[in-house]
Amino acid sequence: MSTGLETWNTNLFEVVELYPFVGSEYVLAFCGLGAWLIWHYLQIRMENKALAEEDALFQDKAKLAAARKLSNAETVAETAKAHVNGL
Amino acid sequence: MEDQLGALTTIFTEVYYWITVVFMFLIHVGFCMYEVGASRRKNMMHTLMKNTMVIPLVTITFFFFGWYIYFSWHNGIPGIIGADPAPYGLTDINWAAPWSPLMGSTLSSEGDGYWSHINGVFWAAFLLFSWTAASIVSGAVIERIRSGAFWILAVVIGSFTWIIDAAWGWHPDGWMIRELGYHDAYASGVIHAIAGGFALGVLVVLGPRIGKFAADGTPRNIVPHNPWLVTVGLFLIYTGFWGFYVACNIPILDVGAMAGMEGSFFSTTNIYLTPTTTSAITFNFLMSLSGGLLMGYLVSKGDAFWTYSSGLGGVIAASAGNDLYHPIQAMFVAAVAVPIFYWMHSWVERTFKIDDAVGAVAVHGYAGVIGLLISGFMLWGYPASMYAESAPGVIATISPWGQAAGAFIMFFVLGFAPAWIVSKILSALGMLRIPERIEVAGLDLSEFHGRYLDEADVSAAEEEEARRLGLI
Repeated sequence: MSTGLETWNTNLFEVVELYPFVGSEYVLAFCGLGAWLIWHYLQIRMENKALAEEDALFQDKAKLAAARKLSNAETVAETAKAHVNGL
Repeated sequence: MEDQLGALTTIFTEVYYWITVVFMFLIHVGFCMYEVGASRRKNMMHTLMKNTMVIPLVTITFFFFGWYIYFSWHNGIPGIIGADPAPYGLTDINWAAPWSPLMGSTLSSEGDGYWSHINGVFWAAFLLFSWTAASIVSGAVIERIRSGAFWILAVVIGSFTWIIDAAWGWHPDGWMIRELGYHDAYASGVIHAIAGGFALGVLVVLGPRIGKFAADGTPRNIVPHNPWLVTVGLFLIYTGFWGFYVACNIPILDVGAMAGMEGSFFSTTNIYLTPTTTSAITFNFLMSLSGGLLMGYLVSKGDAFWTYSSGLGGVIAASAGNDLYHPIQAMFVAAVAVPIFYWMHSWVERTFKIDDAVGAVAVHGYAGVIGLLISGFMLWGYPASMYAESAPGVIATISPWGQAAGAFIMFFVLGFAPAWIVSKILSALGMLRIPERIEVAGLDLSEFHGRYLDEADVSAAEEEEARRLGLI
């Protein structure tokens, strides 16, 4: 039983593929393409949700002002403090 | 591989490209540092992640279809437009389709093993060019584009439009070389003009950052939050650009037969298989960098950002002909290009309210176009490819009109137009731009909200623990 090569004790000129499951290349390519497209779908959905939530939060002008202060803070400590106090 | 000399040549070539890939990685490191430095503090992490994710997305798509396009589309667009001698069709290839055994770990190919060794590293060299094309666009659009939209655009240029232009204008038998005599040895147009044009196409639709322009239309200077990061980033881009130059060459090739000689003539060649030397391009890279820096300092009155960028733009302008120029010619070509693209940047910004955050359209796009136009005159009558020598009359020679047509195709047809169309679609779907309130608040606050909460929590927990231990 082997998923690919069974021995190195052979004529190496006749060895081509080194990877396992030779013959599955079309399936791999199809799955890879699908995974890429699904990633974009998930990422855009995630980003849209996060942006919509933040946009709704900043309808409150006081929170938007606090957020601007937080974003322009100089240090991590200042950032953390501003966050706790401002939002 | 049967004989030792053949094996040595093949494995030397394999390692040569591998080294160039590692050097070129520094381009991406440099772009990340540069963009983060150029952004405001409130947008740093968003800017960093936007550029970082170019790496996996362009890599996998370049594996799935980019590499295949380079080798199979050099006659035009299959089924739509094409050119003799093999019109309207895909070129038959056996090493670039994603299901080809040669796109994986293989030991031998048709007996000699050459492509088994070269395919992966050659693919990676082109892939790093792809990252660069997408990264150039990334800098121009910082601080207001949605990440998801940018990543779609990055795939469009990184794995589709730029590699079409490479198939047409870089492949030694591409239709632009055969019909137009297009010559662009180190990618003034093939990478830089297309990326600059693409960035402009996105910017026209995307619009400027809030606060960029005063009510009377005067542009404001949005200052980089960290000029040191910008500086080191640009130095790293210079370093990676050296790797880019040698990656555009083939290190050792017998060009004797192609030249019609009876014996062998081993040489380094450019991408068009015409002989050059690594020394020649080293001379020219450094002299054009220097020409750009010297002129950039003068025209910008010593502004660090524009001086560095002019060094880069100078190299880009000279790149089309840097396989053949004399080093002093390379220096002057770079120096001539700088004031033109510097002026064009300001004029376009003021006139059309284009907010190009890092000057990418100028430094890459306009400089690339200027370089192609100059090379048309400087190299007028030179054979565009080695195939011109083996088959006289089949391939055109370099000319001003051929280079001008090539510049138009790169900047507008494959750069500006697809970017504008895709951006319009994304904009119509409400997917292109960050909501205004979030842009004002800061993009990091939105996407990395939890990070700040974590920092506050950890800070409070640390203080509590320290009190329990009697430390404070």
